[in-house]
Amino acid sequence: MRKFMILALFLSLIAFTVAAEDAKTILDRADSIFTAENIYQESSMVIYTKGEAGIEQIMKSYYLEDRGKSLSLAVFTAPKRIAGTAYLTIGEDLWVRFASTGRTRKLSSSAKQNSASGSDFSYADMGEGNNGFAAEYEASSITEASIEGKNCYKITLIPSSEDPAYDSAICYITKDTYEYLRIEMYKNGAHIKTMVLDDYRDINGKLYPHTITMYSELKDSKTVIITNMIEFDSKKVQKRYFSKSYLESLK
Amino acid sequence: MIRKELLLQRWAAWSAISYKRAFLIVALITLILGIGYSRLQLEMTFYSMMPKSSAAVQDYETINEEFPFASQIIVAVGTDGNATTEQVKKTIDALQVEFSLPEHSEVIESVYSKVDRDFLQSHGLMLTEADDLQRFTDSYSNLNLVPLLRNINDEFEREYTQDADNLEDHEQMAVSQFKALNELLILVNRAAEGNAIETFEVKKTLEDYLFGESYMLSEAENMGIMFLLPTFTMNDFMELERVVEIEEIAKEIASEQGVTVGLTGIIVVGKDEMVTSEQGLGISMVLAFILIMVLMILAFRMNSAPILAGLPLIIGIIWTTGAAGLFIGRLNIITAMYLIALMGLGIDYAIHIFSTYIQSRDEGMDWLNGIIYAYKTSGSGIITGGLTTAAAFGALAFSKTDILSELGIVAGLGILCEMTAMLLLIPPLLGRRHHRLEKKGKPDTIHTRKVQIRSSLTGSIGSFVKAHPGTIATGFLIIGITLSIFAPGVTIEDNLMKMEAKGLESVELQDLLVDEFGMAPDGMSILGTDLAEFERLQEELKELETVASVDSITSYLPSDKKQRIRATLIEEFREILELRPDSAEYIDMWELYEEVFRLEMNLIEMGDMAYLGNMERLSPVLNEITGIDDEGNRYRDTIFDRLATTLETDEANQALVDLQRQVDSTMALLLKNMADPQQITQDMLPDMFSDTFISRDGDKYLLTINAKENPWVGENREAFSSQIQSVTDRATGMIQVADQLTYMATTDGLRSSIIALLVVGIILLLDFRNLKLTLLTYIPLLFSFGSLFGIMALTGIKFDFVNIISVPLLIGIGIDDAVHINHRYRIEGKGNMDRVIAKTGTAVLLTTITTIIGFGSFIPSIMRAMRSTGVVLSVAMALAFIYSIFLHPAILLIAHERFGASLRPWGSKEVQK
Repeated sequence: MRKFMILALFLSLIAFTVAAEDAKTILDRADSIFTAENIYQESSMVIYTKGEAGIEQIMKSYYLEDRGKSLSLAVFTAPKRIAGTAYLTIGEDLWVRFASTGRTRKLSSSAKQNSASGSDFSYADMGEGNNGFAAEYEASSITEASIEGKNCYKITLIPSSEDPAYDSAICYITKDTYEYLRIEMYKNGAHIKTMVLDDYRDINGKLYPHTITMYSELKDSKTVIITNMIEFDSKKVQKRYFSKSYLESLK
Repeated sequence: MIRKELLLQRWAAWSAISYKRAFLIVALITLILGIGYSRLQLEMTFYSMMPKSSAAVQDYETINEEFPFASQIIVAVGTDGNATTEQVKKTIDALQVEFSLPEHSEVIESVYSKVDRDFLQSHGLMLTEADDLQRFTDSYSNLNLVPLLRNINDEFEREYTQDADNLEDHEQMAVSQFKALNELLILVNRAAEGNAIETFEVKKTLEDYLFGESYMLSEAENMGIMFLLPTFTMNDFMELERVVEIEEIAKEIASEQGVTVGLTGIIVVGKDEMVTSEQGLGISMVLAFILIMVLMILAFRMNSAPILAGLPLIIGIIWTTGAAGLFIGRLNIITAMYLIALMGLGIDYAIHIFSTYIQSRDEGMDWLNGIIYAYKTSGSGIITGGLTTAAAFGALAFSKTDILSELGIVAGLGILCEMTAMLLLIPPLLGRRHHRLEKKGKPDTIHTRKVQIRSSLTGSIGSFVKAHPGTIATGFLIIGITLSIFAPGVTIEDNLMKMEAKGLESVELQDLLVDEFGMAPDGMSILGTDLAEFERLQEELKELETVASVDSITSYLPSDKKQRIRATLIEEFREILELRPDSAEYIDMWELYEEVFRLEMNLIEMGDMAYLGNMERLSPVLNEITGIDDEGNRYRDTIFDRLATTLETDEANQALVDLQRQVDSTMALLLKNMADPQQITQDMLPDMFSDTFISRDGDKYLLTINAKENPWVGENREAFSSQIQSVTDRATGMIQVADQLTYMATTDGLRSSIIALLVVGIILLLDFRNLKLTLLTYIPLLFSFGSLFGIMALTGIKFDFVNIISVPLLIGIGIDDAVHINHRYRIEGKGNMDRVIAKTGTAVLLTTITTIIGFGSFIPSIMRAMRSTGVVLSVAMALAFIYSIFLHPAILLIAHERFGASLRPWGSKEVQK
């Protein structure tokens, strides 16, 4: 009996290891859609509060992976009040340049977890989107589920890094195309946000979600980011953009 | 059985002749039960139904009883959003004066309309965290204009421009600070122009900067709130009506100021529940009684029906009320509703007695023999039926939940009381009627009347069912199964406030307060005695995303250890303040200009962040100060534009130097007052804090947690509760308790339904003595429930803890129709299903209509929980009737006549008719 139990335990460990590896492969495939040497993106963002749309914020974003460090620069082009305001991220550091005053300031280290421009996305959410959503997490379980009639892998993620933005997340990835459909984020015992990825379009052989909606599960609010244009490995992205001096030179 | 029938016949004969004595007996019973009536309390609030065995409920009751602030009445001033800030403040002041008068002391214990600035002015630094105290010391080490502004700018850049979330979290304080800074700059400008500044102006500006707004104002400052602490608590149900007089006074005073006012808080909601449920019950009772009496007059063509049937009906209700008083001592919303539904059930006994009585008169019997015959033929059946229904209802008395067991007791007693009242009173009433007619020399009109409900409809149904049993069974099975497929979609109402009357001011204000103040009035609390634990909990809870604020006495009475550490830092600060540089006679105008310009930049950047972050309160204030509109355009000159001119000078004038001296001395005085190193003790706390956080006996403490979103909304509550649960499992509050009530009503309702099904099954088995027939009798009932749930899912009607606990009752009532058909089928025999339906259909229809009237009378109620109960139960009864009259006979016919299933009782031989 004892031998049988040890064998059962051993087999279940093997099964879990195999499942975990499978989950990792699935996550890597799903994340590969978002990863590139560099990305240039033009997008608009609208915050809906109690069903009412707020101001449309339009921005140009530049992403670059440089020696294992994620670099990003987002420059607002509209609305008029914040046109020219820009956010620069170098690894864990975040700067903002206010177009209204021309001044640049470094944001506090905790600011990455904060709401980006009053939206339901945090700066970290936006950054993770271009590193792959599971970059900071590892799979703890994998099952199957159906979302909007599509067969999906349902993968529970737990943080693999220190100081995670969320305690856990559940992501739904389509079985046939490895597209993220939905990611549910949990913190302090509550489901706090849900990200829905939609409108996948082929960009240079990669299916990229052109509409990403973040629903707050804590208030009647959602933020929709629509990608109007995206280029992977774009010539528009230059390394010099990702410096404080360039940020300060922006007009 | 024979003894029972004989006894009934003897009673009928004796009481019809000696009706006065019979009335006396009834009066005596009424008098005895009147003792119970005098003990009876009407507890018509949801709060009164909370499961008393739950630890959360017990804690919540203790909190209500021992912490005055838990019973707070929130007075919201300027609820229509049209008042000016000045009007709001004036009204709040007027209400403060009025409710503080001794004439209101019987009702109102305390009135709180402003933040206690005196306490903050004296002990502000002792309430400041050690880390912040260090920064505070740095910020105010030099109170000359330039270093003061420099330190303010440093603070802004550290706190706000680096972190928009900080700005949002401290929005209210930030608004006060920015407005006060604007005022300070105006004083600087006036001084720079050579004008002398009065010291009181400087003092007011600096006080506003340091302590913020003392009124509790909304984001747009067009609404304000204040708190009244009543002399009674939520546990004093009889006192809740007194809220009405408070409301009237508040509305009158507000109206004098041209402002609207509304009251909310758990006590006000409780009062509104009482008022609306009592109104609803009153309307339902009158409506049910009138409709039932109209039906009786139409059915029996008797104008005397309201007396002959109505009087025993009312007496039965009175007895039930008295019995409830004796056994339970109270009626809650659900048991009070049942009393009205009881009219629809109790009248059925009168229908049975009158039907037989009139039948006997038609057959030529005189009135007395008619009564005796009616009791002989129907009396025994009535008693058996009544006892079994009472037993089925009474089984609920063993439920775990108080509300369900109380319902079981009242429902069981109600059936017994109604049945007894009908059996005791109808013969003497008929006797009295006959006596009066005789005395007046009038003929007895009943002799010529017949039950006028046409049996042609049920006759046609009977013929149809007999001719097409297969089609009907298939058709109804398809309908039933199709509807049942949707049944899992039925949901449970998770927002207690949606069970209240629609448009209730106290409920609507809860949402308004969330919108306007960013904080829900109903939250959770933790009861405890360990302040160190509270400090830890407070730290952890305030980090939660769903939590707007966490407060406990430790916010105002820090631990001895903390106070000792802070006292040292405060002493150091006082020293630094004493040793600060003297107020300089010289001001470096260029540096002053630099800091003013830097301040402008900071405010513009914060304005951008407030605009992007949709901070509705802060954004317009910063736009106003910086003169930049939402488009980013400069739309007006600001104090910064004026200062750019007035400060463009090499040397400060005397007025500016004087202002610098005033700012230095006034600020120093304010800071010195705040920097009191004396340890704060419990007796030094303002009443508002002790009323909120310390129990009346001083032994217990309270930690309060307010939610960012309205926690009555299910999903908000789930997130709020889950996050709090991740820190502690000891939080309680009305929202938590209401969740437990719904959960227990659901689980206990399900358990009680199973018990009711079993009890009914046993009764049916004993009655029919045939397992197949018993099982077949369940089919229409189960299909009724499946269809009901399906219809509810399709139409969006939800279960709630009021209507869900009535489900077990439906089992006892809904199965009746099929039982009557079974009995008649056994009498009529094979091949006579058409006669069965024709004969029983009319009576079944009549009793179903009366039951639907009983339940349906809740539909016009303004309280949504009562309305939904009326709809659910009426639809259920209608479905039970339809399945019983169509599906059940068809299945019986197929089973018995086509497949030869035996329906005869055990040990008997089938008799072919």
